[in-house]
Amino acid sequence: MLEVQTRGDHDAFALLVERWENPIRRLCIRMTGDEHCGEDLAQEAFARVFASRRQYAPGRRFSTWLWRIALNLCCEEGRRASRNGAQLFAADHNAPSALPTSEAGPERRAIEREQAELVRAALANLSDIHRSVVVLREYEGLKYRVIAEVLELPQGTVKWRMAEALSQLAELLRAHAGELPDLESPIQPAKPITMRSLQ
Amino acid sequence: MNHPNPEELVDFLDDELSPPRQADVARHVSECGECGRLVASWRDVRSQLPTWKLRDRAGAHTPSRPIANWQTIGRAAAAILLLVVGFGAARLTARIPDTNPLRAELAEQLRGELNTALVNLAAAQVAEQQAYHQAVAQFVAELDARWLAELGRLRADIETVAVTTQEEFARRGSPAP
Repeated sequence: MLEVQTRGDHDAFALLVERWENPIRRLCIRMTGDEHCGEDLAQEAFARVFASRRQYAPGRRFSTWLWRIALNLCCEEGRRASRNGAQLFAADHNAPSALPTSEAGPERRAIEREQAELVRAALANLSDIHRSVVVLREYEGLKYRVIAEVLELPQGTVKWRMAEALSQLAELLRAHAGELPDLESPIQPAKPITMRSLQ
Repeated sequence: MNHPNPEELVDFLDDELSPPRQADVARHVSECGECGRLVASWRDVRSQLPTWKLRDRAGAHTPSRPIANWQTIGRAAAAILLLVVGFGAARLTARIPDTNPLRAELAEQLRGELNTALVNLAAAQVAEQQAYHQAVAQFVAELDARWLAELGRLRADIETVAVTTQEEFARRGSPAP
């Protein structure tokens, strides 16, 4: 990143893109629920990284900076879509982003596709912060310490958010198990599960 | 034991508590219905999340079964080896023919063909030029003939007018101009 920053080295930047392209693409797709939108946002994230390379503090972890930029873009896109009346995560049972890659038979694949769609729809009903924590932890395998750096939150708060997110997802998945989300009436956000009873 | 807080339960789920604390929380979760159900539901969620898979852009989708077994691969390798060895041996043992006489003969033949083509081209150009000149001459001759004919008719008309005028003057008894 230093070479990109100091010399505008395009080859070094190409290496960075090659290393981080797929993780950032996956993050953006899972945050928006849309493969094409996610790919566009991933490209935009790298464009922003290159454009704002002078603002990168060398002592800071590059990946943290990159995750943060991509997450911000996804959240901005979600807000923009809400303002315009569009809906990210519009359910599409045949969407490539929801395709399982199993080599099982057609029936099994259909069930897997339904499960994938349920998961996608359930994630859609989480708030940005809850979805970010789940995606970074469960799909990208980041440690809570790193997630805390990315989200600029205390580590304990991140774990709280994870607990809340898992409880909400459990409710959503239980409520919609055996049925696919209705295209016309998106799933209403589940009532957050308070964990006051556990204190 | 009091209920563990959610932060601790998340750590418990990831097996990231200290061993004594992990054991305590495990005991509590197995005894407390509320915490047991919560942790079980979280585990269930975690087992379902991976069903939403994405393909990487590079398309590095590793097949879950081998494309061919070792026997097939061995046979293919042996066939390739035989081909390579055979080709190399043929290259090494084949006589290299002397191509100079053939090259000279071909050059002579090509030179003759080229000369003939040039002569034919020149003759065609000359013939084309002659035909053009003939056409132009014929056109000019036709124009001359047409002009002479027009001139003859004009002369006849003028003579007719002169004779008629002279006769008219004679009839009126006035001298011709």
